[in-house]
Amino acid sequence: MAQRAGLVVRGRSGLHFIPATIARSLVAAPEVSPVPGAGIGMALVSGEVVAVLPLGSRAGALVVCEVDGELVGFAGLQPEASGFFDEIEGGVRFDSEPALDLDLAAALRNVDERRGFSHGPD
Amino acid sequence: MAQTERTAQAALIENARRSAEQAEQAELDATAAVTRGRGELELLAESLRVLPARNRELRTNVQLLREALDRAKLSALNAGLEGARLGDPMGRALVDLAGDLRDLLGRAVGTLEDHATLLTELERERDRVAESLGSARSALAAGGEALGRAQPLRRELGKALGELERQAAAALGTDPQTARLMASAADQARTLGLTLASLIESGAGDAARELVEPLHRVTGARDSSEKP
Repeated sequence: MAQRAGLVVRGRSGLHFIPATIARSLVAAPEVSPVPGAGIGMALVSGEVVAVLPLGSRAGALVVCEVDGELVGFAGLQPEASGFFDEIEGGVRFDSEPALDLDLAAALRNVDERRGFSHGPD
Repeated sequence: MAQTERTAQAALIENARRSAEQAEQAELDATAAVTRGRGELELLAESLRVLPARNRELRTNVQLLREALDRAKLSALNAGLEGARLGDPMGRALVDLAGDLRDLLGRAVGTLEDHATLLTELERERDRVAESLGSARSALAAGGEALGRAQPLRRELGKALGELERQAAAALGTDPQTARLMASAADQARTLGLTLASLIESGAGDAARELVEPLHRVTGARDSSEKP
């Protein structure tokens, strides 16, 4: 069976998979400064200021990902495992449970749309 | 007053004296026990007072350990992510190692959670012991008060007994104990006289007769009607 490399996290709606090409690192939840009216926050991670997008209510680590060439931290996710996982349609299998691909680019677009911005050329 | 009455009175007074002495000893023992009990309860209370601070220290340590384990878990996950990025087979060993480490850390976190639960239970136990200690203190205080009320009564009883002995000595012509001993000796002498008389009657000989005369002098002085 084909395997995929990456990170399995638990979010509001169950298990999700983030490919290793997108997930950069996990850091202990830093102090997040909210950006008024934007629905996001900003945090200092390893000397870099990154946007923090809340994807769940779980306290814990911040999953730092590279989305469209930008470093974005996703909060509210609980990391479960990292490594190689059996591929299934639309995700991977972890402990006989499906972990579906997490569309981080879409999540980021949703925030941008709420802010009234757009990514890239129209 | 008849000899038997004197004997009975002397015995009653003697018994009362012994009971009074035993009561005094019991009171002393009870006072010592109450004092010891108070000391023990104070030590226990002091230990209980220290426990919450100890418990807080333990909780702080548990929290620090939990944070350290969480950080270590993140490091293991990051190592697994690095191994995953290296790909198979290059990163396989790193992924496996990180997975084992994550499992071990997960078990350590579980054990720590158990400790935190035990600490909570210990706090509840401490609260229950503190309540029981309060009840024990109240009970001991009540015992001490009762003992305090008993002490003057016992002293009064001792005084009354002394007065009774004095009056009995005046009435009997001697102190109750001596009167009782003399009455008892007279009883025994009478019994012996009767025995010797029956021996003489049955022809036991001159030796018995020689003993009877001085015995008559003793018993006759007290009760001439019982001469054998």
